[in-house]
Amino acid sequence: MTIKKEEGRESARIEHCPSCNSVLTKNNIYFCRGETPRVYVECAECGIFVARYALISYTSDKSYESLLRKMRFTRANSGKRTMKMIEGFETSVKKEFEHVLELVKTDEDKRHVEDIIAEDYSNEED
Amino acid sequence: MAMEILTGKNIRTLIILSVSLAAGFAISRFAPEGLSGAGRVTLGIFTVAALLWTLEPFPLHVTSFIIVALEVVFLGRAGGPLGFSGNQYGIFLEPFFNPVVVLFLGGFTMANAVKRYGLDERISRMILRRVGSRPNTVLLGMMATTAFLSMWMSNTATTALMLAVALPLMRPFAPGEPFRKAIILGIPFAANIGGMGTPIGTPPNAIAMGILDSMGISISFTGWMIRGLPLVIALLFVSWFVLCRIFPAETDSIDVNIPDEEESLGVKSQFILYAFAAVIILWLTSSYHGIPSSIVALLPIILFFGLRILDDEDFKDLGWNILIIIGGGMSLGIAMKESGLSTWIVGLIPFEGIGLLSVLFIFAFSAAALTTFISNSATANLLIPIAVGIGTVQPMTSAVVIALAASAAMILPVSTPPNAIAYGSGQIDVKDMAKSGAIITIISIVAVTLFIFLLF
Repeated sequence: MTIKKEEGRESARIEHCPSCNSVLTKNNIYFCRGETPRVYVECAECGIFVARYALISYTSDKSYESLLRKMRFTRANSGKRTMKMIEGFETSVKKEFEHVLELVKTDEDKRHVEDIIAEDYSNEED
Repeated sequence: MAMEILTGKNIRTLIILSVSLAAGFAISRFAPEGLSGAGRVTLGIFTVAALLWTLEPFPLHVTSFIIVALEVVFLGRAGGPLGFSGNQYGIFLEPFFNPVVVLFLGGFTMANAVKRYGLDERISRMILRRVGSRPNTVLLGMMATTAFLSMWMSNTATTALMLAVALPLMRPFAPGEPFRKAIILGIPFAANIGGMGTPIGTPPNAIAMGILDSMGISISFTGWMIRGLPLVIALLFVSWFVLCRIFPAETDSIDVNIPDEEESLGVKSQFILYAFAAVIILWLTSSYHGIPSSIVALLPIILFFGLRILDDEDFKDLGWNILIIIGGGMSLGIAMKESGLSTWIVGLIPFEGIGLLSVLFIFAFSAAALTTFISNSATANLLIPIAVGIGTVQPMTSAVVIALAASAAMILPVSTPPNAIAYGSGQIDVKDMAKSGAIITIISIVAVTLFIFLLF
């Protein structure tokens, strides 16, 4: 399976520390029952706050087990569609990971993450 | 833009849709004599629905919307073959928010609250702590927990939860240990069986209740459970026995290893459990207090969303697609009744010469055979409207038999989402599922038919 996206539609960016510009970060995940989990990104070099993400979906290296977790919140009605989804899930996660690494290496988006989100996703939020 | 929409997948979708519509049109034009104009049109719509629900070019709920659109445009429009005027076409839309759909909505809300606060995991741990370490009793405990949860939650969600619990238990097993397969198969089978137990267990139950409701025949929450629960218990034991025989354990014990200590329940979790218990009690006693089950189902919706125990995201995740599929099936049933199509189809089959029990066996077998290849909701949507038109069989009997048999889908991974999830683990192959599933399916068909025939 190859990842083919329309040109100009995708980009990738490594998170940088706003203070020391390090790319080494630590993800501190905050859980509170009844609330969406949040990731607080900390600079691994200087320890300052880098960013906060809301976590709506999580996939670990054990992707089947991650899929099971995800499926706890779904109400599927078609065995055929569920089969296709499961078959495609593991491969697509690994392929997309490799694709993102390549993208970051060859054509990293230089804008700030918040700018990318504001400029590329603001219309789709509505 | 055109290229973005006309992808290979969408072109295939459009071809299947076009072929289905053309087949529906051809059938309605060349239907045999003796069928009214409205009946011919409905036969065409039924054909389109059957093809789309079988071939699944798009999600099943999209087909429900297509059915309604076709019904209104070709049957229910002012001056159309049904002779409707004004907004009488609304009868095709009413099923989308009828009492059964509201009952399901309440069930979905309760299930979401239980999942959101991890109460389902807690319940599963509570039961599994008590099953000991003998492989067969661990399997029975797993299956009983799965069946119990799937009576109230979606079969898919229950299977996903229980497989996540089961996978770590199997790590110490030797690679060739056959019992591994028993556990992986026992969970989806128990989820399919558990869905039979309550009206909110699985969509075919709601479809049966909704179609019966449109005929003025109501079946209470308790009434359904009296029919479904004994079958759940019996089929659960049968499935467990079959799996233990086909995939016997080679080890003497399994280390279930679930920690005894649990965090104390939070206030919101306690509130959810009390509300859950109150709703179930009200459902089971509706004949005493007179409040319909569907109105009782509004209670968790009002409480959980009103008191911010659940939020807008949970509301979006309420399984609206399932409700639309249920609504589409009931809407098709109404069209078949109004147009006289169901009576006409039933007239084609010489049921008079066949005994009642044989008729029920035919329905149960047809439902189980169809649901092996297509979704159980689509099976119920297509078969129940036909079956309830047969004069020699009580509509309630035929509808319940088909709904329950539609849950007996154990043979192939594509038969139900729980089977697909279990197959996706990579621990079983199709042959394992087909071998044990075929035996359980046949026993289920016989058990469902005989139980409903002899006792109701």
